[in-house]
Amino acid sequence: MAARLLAGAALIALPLAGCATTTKADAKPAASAAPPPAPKPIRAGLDPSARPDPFPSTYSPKASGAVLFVNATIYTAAGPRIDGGSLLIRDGKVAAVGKDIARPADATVIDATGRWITPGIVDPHAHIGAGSSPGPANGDNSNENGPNPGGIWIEHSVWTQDPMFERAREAGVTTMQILPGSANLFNGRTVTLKNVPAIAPQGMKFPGAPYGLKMACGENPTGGGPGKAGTRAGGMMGYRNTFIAAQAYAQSWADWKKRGSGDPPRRDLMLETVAGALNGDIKVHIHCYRADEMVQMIDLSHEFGFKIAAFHHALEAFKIAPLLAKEQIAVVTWAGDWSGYKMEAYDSIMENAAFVQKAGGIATMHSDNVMLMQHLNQEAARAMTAGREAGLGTTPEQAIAWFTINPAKVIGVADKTGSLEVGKAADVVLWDADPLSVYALPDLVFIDGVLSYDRAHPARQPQSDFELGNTKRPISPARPAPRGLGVSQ
Amino acid sequence: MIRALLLSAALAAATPAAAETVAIVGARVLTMGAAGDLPTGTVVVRDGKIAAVGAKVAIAKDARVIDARGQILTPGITATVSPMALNDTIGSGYGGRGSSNSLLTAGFDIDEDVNPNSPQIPEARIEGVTRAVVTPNPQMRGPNAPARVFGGQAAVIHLADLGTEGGDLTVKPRVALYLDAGEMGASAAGGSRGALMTLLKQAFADARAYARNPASVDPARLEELSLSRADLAALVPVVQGREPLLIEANRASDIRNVLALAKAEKVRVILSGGSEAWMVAKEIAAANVPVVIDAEENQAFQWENLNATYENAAILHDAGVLVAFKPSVARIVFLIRTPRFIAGRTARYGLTPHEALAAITINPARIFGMADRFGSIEAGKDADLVLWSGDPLETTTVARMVMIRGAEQPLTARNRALRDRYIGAVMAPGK
Repeated sequence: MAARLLAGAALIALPLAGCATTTKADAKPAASAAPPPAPKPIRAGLDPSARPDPFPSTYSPKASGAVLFVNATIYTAAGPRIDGGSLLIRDGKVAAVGKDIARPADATVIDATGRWITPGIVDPHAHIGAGSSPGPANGDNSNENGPNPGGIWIEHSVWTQDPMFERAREAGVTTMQILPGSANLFNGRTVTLKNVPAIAPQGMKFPGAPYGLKMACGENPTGGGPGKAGTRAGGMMGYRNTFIAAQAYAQSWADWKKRGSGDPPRRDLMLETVAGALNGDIKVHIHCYRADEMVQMIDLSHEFGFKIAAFHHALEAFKIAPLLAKEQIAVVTWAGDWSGYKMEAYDSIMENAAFVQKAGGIATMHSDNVMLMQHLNQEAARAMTAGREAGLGTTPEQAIAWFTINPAKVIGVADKTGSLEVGKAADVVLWDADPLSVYALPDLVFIDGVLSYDRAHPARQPQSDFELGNTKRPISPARPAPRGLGVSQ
Repeated sequence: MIRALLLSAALAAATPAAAETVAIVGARVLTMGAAGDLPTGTVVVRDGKIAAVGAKVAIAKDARVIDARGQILTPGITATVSPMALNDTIGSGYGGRGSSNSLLTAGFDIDEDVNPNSPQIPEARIEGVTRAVVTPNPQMRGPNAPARVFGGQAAVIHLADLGTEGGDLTVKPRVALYLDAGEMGASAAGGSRGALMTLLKQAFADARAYARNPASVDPARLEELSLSRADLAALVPVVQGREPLLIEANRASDIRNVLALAKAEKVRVILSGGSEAWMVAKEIAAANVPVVIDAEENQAFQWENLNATYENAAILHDAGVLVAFKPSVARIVFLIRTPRFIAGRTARYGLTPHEALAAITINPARIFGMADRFGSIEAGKDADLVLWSGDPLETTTVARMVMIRGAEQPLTARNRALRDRYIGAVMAPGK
């Protein structure tokens, strides 16, 4: 990651070379006829390109066999719903999906008559692990108020024993992006995790997922308090000054690489992350509620030449949906219940995602909350219902995409998960009812082809160390979905 | 159908409810009362009340008829332990209001904080919420103010549109006195559960003494208890058994403490929260104490919620406990529109959809002593009715008609006005 970062930084630095003042290096070869001295060894950790992935993922899926689901209603998140469909997964990947799939001799067959299949849920905005349940177990490790808060990597706060990982898995969440909080203008790096049990976060890190930079606008970072910008204008000055510093930082590394000798620049973890965002290696995720602030941030991105991957929360996206679509900035939001919980959330509508969809943009649901994380499918369904009522023609397929392939795009893992297409990860949820129904629950959850949750078998329901021998929570029996109130009981 | 209904709603909202008789015909009626479900029923509304309900009911000639075929009619939903209409923005935590005044705790009355013009009210109303039990939040005290043992007095309000003239939404003030007997209450009492229980007993003894002779209470002791005369006066109906305590308690041992306190002090109790209530369900049932649970708390928000589970509602119900749902406190925010989805989700964990619907309609009315007024579709009750496009607990269902105290409500709200202002840009891009 960092290697690419530096390479990219060198590219970005080119247009700036005219402004650079380092002429010594160019003059050196002419001034000295003697062979250059042997380069001084650089101490470990001072050159990021020497170890570009210092906290590498150790996750590698267990071996899994072939499973064939038959007679299912399948939302692939890559096309129309398939009724009476089959899905074959093998060696951790989707091997085939469609109406008629020949049964391989070695495949375990699951009759999914009356049941539904979706890709595993992708939550693009969660804080579990960092902000733990119970709170005191790991504290709220989301925000950092130190002098250089943008330099944190949230993975260093993730407590893998947080029972919320299990709750989310039981709800069908197979991939999630954990973000730092929003107390600062620059809040640090996000991390994308596979929802698998592990001792340390390295065992959950999604292999190959890009990092994200969490930025924040509005009340949280600009509110009063030590180290806070104080006003929105002060916040904008803070962004601009930091991007200016990051450009200069990237330039100094590019210059050093070009020189090939001498002491490297002193590493700065925050500027390293911001420089990575500037060159596109690190995706920019901005916590932002109001439309006026989103427009300001879009102009900021044009000023410094970076791409905003997504506005998170983005309750006022509906006011600027065509602009967001034109900029291809995703909207990571809720169904719209959160109106008025703070002043900048005053204008919130249930149709927010449907507006974005209709305008041709990328809409996704997100949780930000441990309870909502357990029903992102319902959140999408409610947002869909609001869109349909408003005449926006929102379809179930679109609503399914809001919690599967679209968040995978936002995080940067859509080539690996988020839809049921041949070659992608076999991250699969088998639901006992229409996943857009309030009554649907996952029967089975597969992650990279491995059965990771089975509602009917408590032995296949992982429990964190924290809850083991500690809690007395009853295990819910696998009941059939209720018939609902629309029919005689 | 939808357009016609909306038009009629707009007209009806401008008409005094008492002036007309309305017959809602053809809906599947979930009465939540003795009549049970009517596959095709008629409900007649007159003078703000339900005049008749049944499969076959005579309809007066002058009645305005609402054709409700293919839809489902239920009683209005009650939001329980709610901060509805108390704050312009709800704020972090679960919002609400509390007293910062050390000389006003039990006597603090939330009723007077209710703003009938709050935009929260129509936004909840269009989702079928017709009543709320507004409850003080002792956490929402002023900065640096000490924690309070007593939060203050809860009130029942209705959510009807009162027009620009405004008016009073209060249906009944002082329906319960709220206090926290969990970690927060222990903290307010000085750091331990034992201290809290002792303080409460002292307060009750002082209230009894005050009731006998208001002049007898030693002012020095008042200071020690942080109880003013207004607080002691407010405790009198509690110690006399006329007003229940609404006690937040989550840990099983805290719930046991509350049950023991109620028995020893002969006070009536409603439990709130109750994360671990399922572990002491039989004791709660034996004490005839109802529980207003955060139904979908299945995570340890704090240590006192360690054994929180979605099974809570079903286990309590099966033990014979009267259960209502309060909106999700969650970690960050209070969600005002979700009671029916909380009910729907809970119906996946052993509660039937009917029982779940009862927990947001008739049960809160029973718990707060209002079941003669609302909570079910029965003759003589206030006509709080919601006509749904389908199963009221479903994600794909919307409210087509909301009636409160016999008045059909406008299905407008600030969020819908915002929607309508901006929808043109996505429906016809470039204009």
